[in-house]
Amino acid sequence: MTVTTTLGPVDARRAAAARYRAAMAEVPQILDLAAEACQAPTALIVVTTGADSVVTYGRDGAAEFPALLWEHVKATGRLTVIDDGRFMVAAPLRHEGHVVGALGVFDDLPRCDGEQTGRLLAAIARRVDEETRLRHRSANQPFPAAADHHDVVSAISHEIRTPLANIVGFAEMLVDTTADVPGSDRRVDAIRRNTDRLCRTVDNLMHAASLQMGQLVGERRAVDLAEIVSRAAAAVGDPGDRLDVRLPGDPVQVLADARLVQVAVEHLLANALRFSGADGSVAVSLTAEPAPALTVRDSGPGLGADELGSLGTPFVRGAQARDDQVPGLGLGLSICRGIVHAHGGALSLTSPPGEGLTARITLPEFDKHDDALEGAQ
Amino acid sequence: MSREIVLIVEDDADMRELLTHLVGNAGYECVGAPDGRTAARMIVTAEPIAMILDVEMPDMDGLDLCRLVRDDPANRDTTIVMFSANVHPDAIAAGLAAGADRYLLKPLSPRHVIAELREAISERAPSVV
Repeated sequence: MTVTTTLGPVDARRAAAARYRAAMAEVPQILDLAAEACQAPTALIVVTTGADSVVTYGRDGAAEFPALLWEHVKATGRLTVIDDGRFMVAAPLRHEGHVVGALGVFDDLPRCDGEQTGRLLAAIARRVDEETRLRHRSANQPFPAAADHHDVVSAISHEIRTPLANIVGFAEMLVDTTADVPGSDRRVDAIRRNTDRLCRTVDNLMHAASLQMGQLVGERRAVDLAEIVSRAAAAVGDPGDRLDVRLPGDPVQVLADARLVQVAVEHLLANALRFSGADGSVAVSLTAEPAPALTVRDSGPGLGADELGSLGTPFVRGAQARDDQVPGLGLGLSICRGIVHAHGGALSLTSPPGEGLTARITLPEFDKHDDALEGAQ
Repeated sequence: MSREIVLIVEDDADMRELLTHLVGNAGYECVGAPDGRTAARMIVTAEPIAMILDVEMPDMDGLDLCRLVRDDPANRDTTIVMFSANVHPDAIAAGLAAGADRYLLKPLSPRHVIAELREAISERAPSVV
């Protein structure tokens, strides 16, 4: 059920006045302008703050806007000129259809230009209204509402994946039609590999965007982390047989979205393989006690303390990755960390001098109390 | 005996051509439609054994078309394979909930698409690839 509250006229005027005050504070030199233009020693602005309360703005901060003058302007909504020994002119200030205040100029001496000064002051007041309205609008304008982030991310994915799908498909057709052309298999394979790389980049950007927007979507349930690690190892590919994966015999149950956690593990394994070098090895071990923990240790050169601290920040890459032109955007560890954190786990990175980088993921253990949670999500 | 018909509903002309070629080579007769509304009209006359649907299309998207097909008992045995670039889990769930037998993610090797199509036709069991 939606409840809509309609403001009464007093409340509406008060709200309009509050908005006017906020915006007016940004309008510079109103008082100076009014005083100078009207050749009056004093200029004041009064603005409603409550049903019967007002605030006066003046250059010296002490003067009060004459109550009777304000009441007259408020009641009539019109320019008011009083010239009975002390010269006073006040023009209404309006916002959203309400008289929310008045701009006045004052002189201790009588003057004979009341009508002319009044027109001038009214023109200034209208200008102030307009300026205030514009400032209020620009300050409160929401960003364009295209931003259903899910739609944006989906649209980007669609626009990239569709042409990639065509490239993959037509490349595969080429295999059939150019089977007798020397080297064609190798060329088509290059198309396929590069397409796969682009797909991974798109996936990484989408995951990073989802994490950034706090919109990582997943469904947590009891899953076997050992099985996820096995699948991740198979997915990253290890033609050189450099992954040394040691898994316990029993399942390691965690409460997690298997697809997302596999993405996180794949990033760890791919990074470790990449930085271990062609002859290096990667030790992967999984333990269930005291809490489910996956450790991935590479045999690369490791990282200094400075680099270690910034690793895992989106688009930040280690010096080796930059120097060696290793493909990637610097998103892998940040995605991994984001996914792990979203599950209530932790990612730690250590790199003792002379050793490679060790990444450790811990995830909350699944227990029977999580059954209710599992059913609810 | 006439060949079994597969209706390919895809707004991307290149992809439609590609799928038509591959599905045709796989032994099916192919008809193509660039949007859901055109496809909805073609179903009546073509009586396809299966459909490969893009999801995001102008003039009736793949989800609406899928629901339309599933709401008609005459299409009870029609296999529906969605082939979409929208990889968001919500989109996959929506596709399967709409009645698709498969939700395949672009890009996917055409050989796999054909393999999935054949398998879906034979079993019509929902799964995600």
